[in-house]
Amino acid sequence: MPKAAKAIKAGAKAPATPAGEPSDGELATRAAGGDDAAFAALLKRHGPTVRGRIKHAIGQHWKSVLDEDDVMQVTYLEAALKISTFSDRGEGSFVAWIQRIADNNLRDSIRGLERAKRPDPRKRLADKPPGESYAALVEVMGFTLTTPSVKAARGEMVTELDRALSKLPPDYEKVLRLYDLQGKDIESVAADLGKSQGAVYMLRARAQERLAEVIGNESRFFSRVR
Amino acid sequence: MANHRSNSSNGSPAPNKAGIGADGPGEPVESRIGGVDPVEDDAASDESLLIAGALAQARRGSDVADPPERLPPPSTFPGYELLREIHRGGQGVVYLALQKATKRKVAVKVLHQGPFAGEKDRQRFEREVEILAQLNHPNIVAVIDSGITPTVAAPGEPAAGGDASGGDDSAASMPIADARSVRDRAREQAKEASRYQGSFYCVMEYISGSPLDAWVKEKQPGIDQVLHVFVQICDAVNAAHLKGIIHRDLKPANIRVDHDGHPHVLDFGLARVGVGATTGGDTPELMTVTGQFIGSLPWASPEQAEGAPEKLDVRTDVYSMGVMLYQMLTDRFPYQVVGMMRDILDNILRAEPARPSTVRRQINNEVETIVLKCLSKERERRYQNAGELGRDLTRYLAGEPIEAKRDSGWYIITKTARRHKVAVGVASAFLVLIVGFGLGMGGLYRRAEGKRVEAENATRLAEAAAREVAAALEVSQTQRATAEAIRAFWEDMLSSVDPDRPVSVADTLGPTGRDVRVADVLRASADAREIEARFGEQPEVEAAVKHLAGATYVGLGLPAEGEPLLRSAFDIRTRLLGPEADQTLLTHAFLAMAVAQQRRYEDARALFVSLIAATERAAGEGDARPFRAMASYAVFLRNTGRGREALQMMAQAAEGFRAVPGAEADLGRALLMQAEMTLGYGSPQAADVAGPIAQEGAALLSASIGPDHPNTAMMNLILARVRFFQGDVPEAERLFAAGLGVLEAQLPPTHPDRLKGEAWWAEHLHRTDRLREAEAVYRSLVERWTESSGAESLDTAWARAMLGSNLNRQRRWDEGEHELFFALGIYRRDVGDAHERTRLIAAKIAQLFRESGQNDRLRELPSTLR
Repeated sequence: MPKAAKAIKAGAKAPATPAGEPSDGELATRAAGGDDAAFAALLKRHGPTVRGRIKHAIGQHWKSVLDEDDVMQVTYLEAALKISTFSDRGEGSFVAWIQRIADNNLRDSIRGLERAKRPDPRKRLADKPPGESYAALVEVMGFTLTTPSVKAARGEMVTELDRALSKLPPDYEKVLRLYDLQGKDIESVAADLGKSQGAVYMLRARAQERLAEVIGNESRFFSRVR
Repeated sequence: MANHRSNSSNGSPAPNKAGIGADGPGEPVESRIGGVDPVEDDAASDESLLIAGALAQARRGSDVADPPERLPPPSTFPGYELLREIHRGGQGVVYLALQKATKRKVAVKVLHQGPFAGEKDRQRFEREVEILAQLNHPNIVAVIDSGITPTVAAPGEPAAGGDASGGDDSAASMPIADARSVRDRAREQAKEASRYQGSFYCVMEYISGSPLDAWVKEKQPGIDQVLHVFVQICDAVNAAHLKGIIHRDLKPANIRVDHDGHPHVLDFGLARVGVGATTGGDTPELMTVTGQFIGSLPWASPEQAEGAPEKLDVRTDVYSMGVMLYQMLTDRFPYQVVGMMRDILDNILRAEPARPSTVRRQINNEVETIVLKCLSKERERRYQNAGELGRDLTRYLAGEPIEAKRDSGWYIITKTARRHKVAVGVASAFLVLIVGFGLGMGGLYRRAEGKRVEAENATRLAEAAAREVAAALEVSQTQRATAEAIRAFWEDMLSSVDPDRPVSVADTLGPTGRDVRVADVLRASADAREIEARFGEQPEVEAAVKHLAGATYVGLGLPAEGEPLLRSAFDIRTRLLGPEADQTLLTHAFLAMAVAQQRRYEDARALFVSLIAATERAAGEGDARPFRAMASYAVFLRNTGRGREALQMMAQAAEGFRAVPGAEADLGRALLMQAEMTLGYGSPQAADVAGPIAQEGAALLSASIGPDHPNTAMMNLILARVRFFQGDVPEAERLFAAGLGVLEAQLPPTHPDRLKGEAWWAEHLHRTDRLREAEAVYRSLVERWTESSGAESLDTAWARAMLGSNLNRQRRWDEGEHELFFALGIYRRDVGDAHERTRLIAAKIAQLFRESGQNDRLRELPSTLR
């Protein structure tokens, strides 16, 4: 999809901070400290620009299965989760940062949609008993579970994965449970979530990243560790 | 500040787009975010909506507060009014509720329904209720009630009487309400309600307060305060143990500390009833698959990690309490519990806990002993139940002596050494052999052939070490065990090295196999004062233990810590046994080594000289020992950059060996060293002198230890270099091929001899203008030397210097300069500007500057090296 690629390359030109208002950097710092109003102000300032670019990049081709709102929604969520990692490198760096998140989302979504045309059976975990699909999810996530620990891992894994899932943003949790664990097809997951199919792929990609983080951050596959 | 919005879909099949709720803390947040109508022109409000939704979702992910989902309808648990959700886990949800009859707060735990709530979960849940009902203890959460929820309102009908959740999104409050969304909402509520039909639930005493770990973080209690809490936890767990109940999932999250500072044990969901308190019969209903792991990994015991359900008993809980105690006292885990499951399991099974006092200095010896006793890998060495642990803690708090005794140092060292076979003791093996006391080593050399005999040697040396201590201990029953442990330790240590190889192990300068973990254990268990306290009445034993501990430090490349122990052992043995006794000489040799490793040349020289003198006095007719001492001194001299003296000393040792019948192998090795030193960096003249020496050495080694012995191979490589400098390249390459073949077949890739042999080969490639090939070998050597002796070791630095020189030849000046300056830094730091290699590296840099036309940069070299 050349258009998406173009959007990704397009980069982001920084609109100057309106006079008398706090700079992006200030707002971002406050947002990272938990100030939701600052976070909202920041995104309100730059969201529409990014939205315009994303809308353009989606174009006619994917319009029926992907809406820029879906992209923006996940982008804002991602931004909320990661705002503390943003480092201000001067004017324009925030807009570039948020644009990059949006571009990634769009890319994952489109990849998913393209792949769906030629499904790779190995990536799907459907039709397996719940325990099995947990193991399969773990494998999709790229954790290594070699024998003999795989055997030892099963019971623990299910419980812990459940716990980790319950810490994800609700949309993330749902997409993994419905798609990966329950093995529903993309249409019905999209229907269940009330989202477009493109959004499901995007959510799933982000959800997997987040899950890996939750598991890794808490230093546990397995129980809470400080 | 709830934001509500509904809208039609934009072509995607989305029947139930719902509103957003971004509510205040404690209030329910509806998790779904609505899509936005593409024709909507109020962009700002779109953005607000999406942003608010994102924040609501993120709040859950951020782990600050799990946003409670919608509460079940009030009719779900008759007699209780649900207040809020307090925990949502894999198996169920816990709500805070009000018991209407008594107006007290209770916790209602309800099992999840749905695809993940299997029969097993239900059984587990019921069992927990059963078990809790049996346990009546102030520090165990009490069960008030349990049952199955009745069926609720029929589908399609909104739950009556208002939503207990506080009315987050009732249809009436929606700013843009359409018929469809109201219908959707009603359906959803009904679905929600039906989720709770026929669920198992139990009502428990509600403990306000915080989980143990949070409590510690918040209150920052002192050590004694933590221990007081643990005494109560022990008491509670012991009450369960007395009823034959094992908790199996003890961890801070399962212990809640109330506002008065009293702990309460929760969650007996994984508990099981053992057959008798410690016999631990199996309970197949909880172990569906043999070996399936149940519990929480960081707190799991070795027997849990092993997947050995038949081994689980109350001592498993003692272990978990040990981990918790460790964690609460130090804010860390006893070993790494982060990472791959395989590694974590391995740590639980094998890693020795880091001493708590190394993490938090205020932790004293007794508390540390108590914690470590809980964490013994073998169940037999732990407290046998929670009661014992509680009593010892109480004793400690009362200022009485505790019952736990620290594991003996040797026991710990043996265990640790088993984990670090290769890491321990190369250098030690060298000296044990070179001095070779009372072991009839001469005889061994004569018949030595191949690997089998080497293994035999290792065993014999190990046995001798054990005999030495055993004799001193006068072998009582318990002491026999110590002797056995020491034997095993030395066997492990020596079986990983080639004891029949004094030459190659001769690098007395570089620390070999530094392993901080083993050292930690040594520090914990074998410091001088402790040895004195234990063995002060038996000076022979004291000396033996100090000697072994000191020797191990030396083997670990920690000579500074070994030296005082060895010095003390040396003094005791000199006093008791005289300076010429075998044992005194052995200690003497290690002491010299310890000092040499610290590069205190003058002290080391004095020790080596007195060692040689003592071995001469001690030697009988046909005794090779004085010459072995000389040879080791020669190696020391060479490694300190005193090449000429070293050569003289080695030649002298070789002459000595010639006069000793049966010392052919010794002589061969001495000649090997002599030839190597004579050849030095190589020249036709040196080759002519070294040639005959190497040839004689090769013949002797081949006859005495066999043509396929690594030492013989090394000799052939020296011969190969000799032939190269004499101009016979084909013969040189034939000898290289043969020698390297043996080394590759017999030695691991990081073995010092193999690395040295390959370095010679790389040099050969370099000199025959195969620069790229040589570079590849050098790079591989740098990598392996880094792995075996560290990035900043002299060996690694030397390899990088050679690589740098190779890069210069390739005219890759920048890269070469980088390598050479790195090497120069290490050499200057570690051996000083006077060392010939330091000077050589500086000369290479100067050459580089000249050849690359950067004469002006010569000034960058220190004046002492220009």
